Amino acid sequence: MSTVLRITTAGSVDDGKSTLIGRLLYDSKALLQDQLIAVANSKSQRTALVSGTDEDSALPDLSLLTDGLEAEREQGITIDVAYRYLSTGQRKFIIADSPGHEQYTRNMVTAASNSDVAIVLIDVTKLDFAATELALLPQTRRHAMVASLLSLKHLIVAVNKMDALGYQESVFQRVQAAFAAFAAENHLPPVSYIPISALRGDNIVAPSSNMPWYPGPAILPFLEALPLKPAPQQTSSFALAVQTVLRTDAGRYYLGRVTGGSIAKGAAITVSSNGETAQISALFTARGASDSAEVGESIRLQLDREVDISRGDWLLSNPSTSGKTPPIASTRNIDARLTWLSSTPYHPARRYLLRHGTAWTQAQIQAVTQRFDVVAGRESASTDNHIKVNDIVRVRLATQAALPMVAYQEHSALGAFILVDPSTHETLAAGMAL
Amino acid sequence: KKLDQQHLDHLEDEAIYIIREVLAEFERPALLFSGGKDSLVVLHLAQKAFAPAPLPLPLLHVDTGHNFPEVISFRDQVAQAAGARLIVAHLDESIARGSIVLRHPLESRNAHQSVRLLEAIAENEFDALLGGARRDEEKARAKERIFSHRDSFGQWQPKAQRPELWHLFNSKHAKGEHFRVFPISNWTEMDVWQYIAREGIALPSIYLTHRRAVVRKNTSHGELLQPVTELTPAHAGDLIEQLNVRFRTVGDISCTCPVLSNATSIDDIIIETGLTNLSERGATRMDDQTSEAAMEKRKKEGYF
Ligand SMILES: Nc1nc2c(ncn2[C@@H]2O[C@H](COP(=O)(O)OP(=O)(O)O)[C@@H](O)[C@H]2O)c(=O)[nH]1
Repeated sequence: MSTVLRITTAGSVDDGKSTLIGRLLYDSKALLQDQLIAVANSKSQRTALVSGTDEDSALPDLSLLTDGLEAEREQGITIDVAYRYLSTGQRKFIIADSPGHEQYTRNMVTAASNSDVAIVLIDVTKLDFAATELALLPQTRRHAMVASLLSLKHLIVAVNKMDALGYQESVFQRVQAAFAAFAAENHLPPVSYIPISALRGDNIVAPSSNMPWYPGPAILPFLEALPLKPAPQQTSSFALAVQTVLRTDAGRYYLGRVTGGSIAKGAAITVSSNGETAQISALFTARGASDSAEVGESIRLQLDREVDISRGDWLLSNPSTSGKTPPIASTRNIDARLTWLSSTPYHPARRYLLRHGTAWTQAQIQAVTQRFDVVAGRESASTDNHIKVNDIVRVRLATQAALPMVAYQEHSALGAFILVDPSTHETLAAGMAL
Repeated sequence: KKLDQQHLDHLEDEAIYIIREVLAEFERPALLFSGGKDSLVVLHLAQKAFAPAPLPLPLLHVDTGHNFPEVISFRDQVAQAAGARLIVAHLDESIARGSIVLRHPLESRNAHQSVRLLEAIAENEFDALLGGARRDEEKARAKERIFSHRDSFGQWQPKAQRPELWHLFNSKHAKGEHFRVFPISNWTEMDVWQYIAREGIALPSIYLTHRRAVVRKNTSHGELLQPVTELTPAHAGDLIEQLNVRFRTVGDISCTCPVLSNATSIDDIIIETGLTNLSERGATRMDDQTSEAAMEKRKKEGYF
């Protein structure tokens, strides 16, 4: 089981994301007294102390904990992704709180790109239960689709504010049924459902006596026990983007982090840019000399012969010896999905900088082929070539250098890239090869 | 135990990747080095990142002139042992030059560090500074990128931060702009102590228990122990007590307070860290408590 679980929260403004994170931290004792006093003293308390029947619920506005910037506290909204850390005896957690307003897609894509699972919050007070068929809000569908696009491994639908509707089982069941139907239609990652009240602390760290009809675990124990399938790249063939070549008296070392598979001393590798091969003669992890290295490890290695290798190259397992997979061909023509993150729209006349692994090259979008309607979960042919903020499109790209691109779903590091504006240096788009 | 060790491996691998990116992507990087625990950890990681080669970048310290002498001599020893070039930018130089004006001689020099730091960046034409700030320290820091862009005035623009995707850092910048890069962003105070213990990283003596004259000060966030020094003298009516204390963080004397402690080893500190109910900055820093946005304001101005 992986030691760190990286979580992103997704929901619209006021669904209770910040309150949930505050609750998780508070109830698991990760919040310290001075941090609570600081929140209680905050000028920007939106709600006065929540008065409850038991002393436990007399808490300050926990959502202020994640609103780290002055503008956020003034406006009572979360603007930017905030990171929080939580550790229990079972696991460590990194929680990325991604705000749900304005730049929703941008923030969620950013947070999700470094997460394993997403908690999608649904605020039951915003739903229309009078309708015969309960409709999910568009933003819920969007959040779920983005999580799926980024290949997150698991979704947790946290059905929030159950206290406001009397903790009724039927409320939870109807939300679950509506989401399950949506998930089935759109091939979403595996989904689990938990009814909660972030405000009152129901089903956050311990089962709630207010919802005895729910037999499952509370959120934290669920996260502690959640088994994660290894990502495809963990079991695929070896890949490492060369960061630097270190020339020393003891010879040349190639430095980089393993992003796919594993590698052992003696194994043959191929250089992506020129197809040359060599054998690994020495291998060091951050812990010292080693016989092998795995995904995630920062290593340095030596080869049995001099090969032309520089930053930007990938070292890939040699298909002729590993026999596992066909060789990864480099290409200058990329078919990819882009999520546009910048308020500066795409301009067809412009070239952009593209970063893939440790390589920077130039890229031009040749055609916008499909447009993804995240809310409907449908992709359809594009009739124009506009791309603006929060758009998710499919494009054909031409790059100046040939790159060993692999479908993002199969190998995230070999399939992910960013586009950068060469003049303003803004990060414009996140790309995922198809 | 095993969980903790695997977690430290993971944090170490991530930090080394980040540090190697900085050396590869920038022309004139430096490492912010105060001799405090976080910067000692970053230095240790940087050494590992480029072993067996010597440290490939200089160290930079902004010295307010109001630092604990034990820490300054420790800083110099460590820099020498690492074979590193240490650039010390003294606040006094800026005061002499007139770019920093103190309202009164004993005014805290902490906030003025930003000015001297930006001057040092310009003098040395640094385009990237590695720093030991962590996201768990403070709420404005929780929002900061690993590769954090600074404009040509050295200012942080929290609302215009570039999205940071996967580990594909965007280091592009115009001349005169620079980056602050935080390889231990995702570490907590506990992770830092556990790593120090595991790696046997040496620390200045004031991180362990010692007897010190202090005065109890009440702040809106609780009680702080202010050390009695020439810069922070006791006032009439103050009760001076000799207590067993240690520092959880070291910074400018005028705003860094120790905590009660009998810890004689890093393992003792780890136990205390697991039991404390005060955050690192909450228990020790006067500078963050002047207002809710104190850190954010200083950061925007170019602070670490
Ligand atoms: N009744 C009820 N209110 C909640 C619950 N969770 C959050 N809220 C309230 O909903 C509002 C928005 O919560 P917040 O956490 O700021 O939402 P965010 O914008 O998603 O971060 C606040 O007034 C919360 O007190 C809940 O479980 N029950």
